[in-house]
Amino acid sequence: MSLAFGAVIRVLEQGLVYAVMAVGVYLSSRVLDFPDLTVDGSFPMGAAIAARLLTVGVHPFAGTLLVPVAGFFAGAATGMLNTKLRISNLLAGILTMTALYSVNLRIMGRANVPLLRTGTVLTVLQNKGIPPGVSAFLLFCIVVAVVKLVIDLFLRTEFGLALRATGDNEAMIRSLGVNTDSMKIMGIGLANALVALSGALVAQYQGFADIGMGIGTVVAGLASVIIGEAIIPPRSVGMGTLGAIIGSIIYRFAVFLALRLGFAPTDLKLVTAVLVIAALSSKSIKQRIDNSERRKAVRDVGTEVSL
Amino acid sequence: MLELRSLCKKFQTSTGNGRMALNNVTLSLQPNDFVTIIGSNGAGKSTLLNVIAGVFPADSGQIVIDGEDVTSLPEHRRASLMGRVFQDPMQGTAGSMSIEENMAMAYKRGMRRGLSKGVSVKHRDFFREKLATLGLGLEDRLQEPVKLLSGGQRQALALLMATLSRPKLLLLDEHTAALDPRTAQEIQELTNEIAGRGNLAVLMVTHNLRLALSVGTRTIMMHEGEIVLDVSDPERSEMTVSDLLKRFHDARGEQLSDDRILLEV
Ligand SMILES: Nc1ncnc2c1ncn2[C@@H]1O[C@H](COP(=O)(O)OP(=O)(O)OP(=O)(O)O)[C@@H](O)[C@H]1O
Ligand SMILES: [Mg+2]
Repeated sequence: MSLAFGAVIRVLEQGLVYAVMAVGVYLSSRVLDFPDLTVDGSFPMGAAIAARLLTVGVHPFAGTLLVPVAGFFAGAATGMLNTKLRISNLLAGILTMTALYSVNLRIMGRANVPLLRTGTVLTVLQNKGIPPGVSAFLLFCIVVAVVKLVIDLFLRTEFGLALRATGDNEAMIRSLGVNTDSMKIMGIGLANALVALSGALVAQYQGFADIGMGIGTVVAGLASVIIGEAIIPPRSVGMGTLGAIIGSIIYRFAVFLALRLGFAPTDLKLVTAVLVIAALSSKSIKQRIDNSERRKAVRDVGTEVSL
Repeated sequence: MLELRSLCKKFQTSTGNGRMALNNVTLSLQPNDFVTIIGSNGAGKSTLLNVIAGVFPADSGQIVIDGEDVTSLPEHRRASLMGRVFQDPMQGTAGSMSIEENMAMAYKRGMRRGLSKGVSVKHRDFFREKLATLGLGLEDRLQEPVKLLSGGQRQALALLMATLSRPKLLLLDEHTAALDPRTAQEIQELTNEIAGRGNLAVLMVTHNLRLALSVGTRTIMMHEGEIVLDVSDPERSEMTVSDLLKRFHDARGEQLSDDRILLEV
């Protein structure tokens, strides 16, 4: 009983710490309508920077808070490749992600940096007397709550409205005087700031940073966003971010169950990819059914669709 | 108010030579001019409005709005000077965002957008008041996403948004063409009313010749990238559609059939 409860808490912790990344993916993929693959590079970059800073003795909280700044620049680089050099959004993300692989190795100095003997944000809390069993859960709850609150408020500011409109109707918001190139650069930057922060926390949570830990981050983030949308219709900004968070938690439970069912950890990327394909295709299949029904309805009534 | 000097715009075509979409267009507008623009498909009407708005640059020529040379300014830096409404009601609003959020974005046309609240309580009252003038009941639906509105409602909102911050110039590109006749008429009446408030120059593209003559103060006809006809009141108010077609014939030495100009009367 208590063992199962412990396992549930561990899964919740994972869901929450990755939810910060999922909110980032929500920002790029849903708010900005920009499929951003930078994420697979900016997530391990967050981990790499945190690992490096912590091993040289920077205070864990100070180090962790520096990470989003670097993440912002990684995302902004992708935004600039796309808007200034007119490279397609997918390729721009791939280019940054590829470049970051080398950068991350440089930052870490080697492919894997253990953090078991250095202080982390979690050991700081434990030293303050918070029991090790709840410190991660508590910290991640607070981080996710703050991220959600700040992003929700931000998306309702004048600037935030312009950002959302850039993803919704770019021509329109440009005709209202907004430089949509800057909006994309800032928006993708902000998304990757969150992704990198998530990476930094994950590294400290699992006790190491690894050069390969970014593989599949985008797909996991998208899976979370899609699951979230299925459960919570994103009628408002707040529902959208909440969906990403809940989706992340459910996704981690699905991963947990898959492991329990006997899948090897290395199979999980395949499982996730299949899950995302299923979710995406169910959407397009549903659309096709809707369309054919509409056509049939029109035929039955015997009228043309009016223009 | 608006000065266009020898504007030229050529589009590349697959056959090589390119097509002159604007050929030496010169036009001068007074602050309260309401100009209707007619011309057959491909005459260059939309291109003219796009060049004025800065969607793409002109190849040569000069654009001066309200004393300011905007020829080399990008679209977003000209936005404070003009409002636009397009044929497609989807184009003028952000569907996933609420009515009040759309209004708030239009209210900030051309201004710096900071981190203050997008829709403040004070704005909300102002937007409600403005929406009430449409008589569509939208003032009670401020928080609804725009995508739930009908095409006509959405176009009325787009028109309101285009003029909310009182720009000096309004560009309308067949903005009633996608609507049913009754709604089209309502949007047209709203347009006339907004233009009638003064201090606003309007350029309105339409394929409806009778409408082109009956609203506004001046009518220009475009053909193959050129302005081939330019008539103002009071001369214009005497004209009929057939006079218009005859004048085109006299000017160009070509016959312009009704169907070439897509007569919608
Ligand atoms: N973005 C573009 N790229 C290439 N050619 C274009 C482009 N926009 C317009 N053209 C061409 O320029 C010419 C003028 O087009 P424009 O859209 O201005 O015509 P219009 O008068 O608005 O016609 P309509 O009444 O059909 O809307 C046409 O021959 C068109 O094919
Ligand atoms: Mg046109």
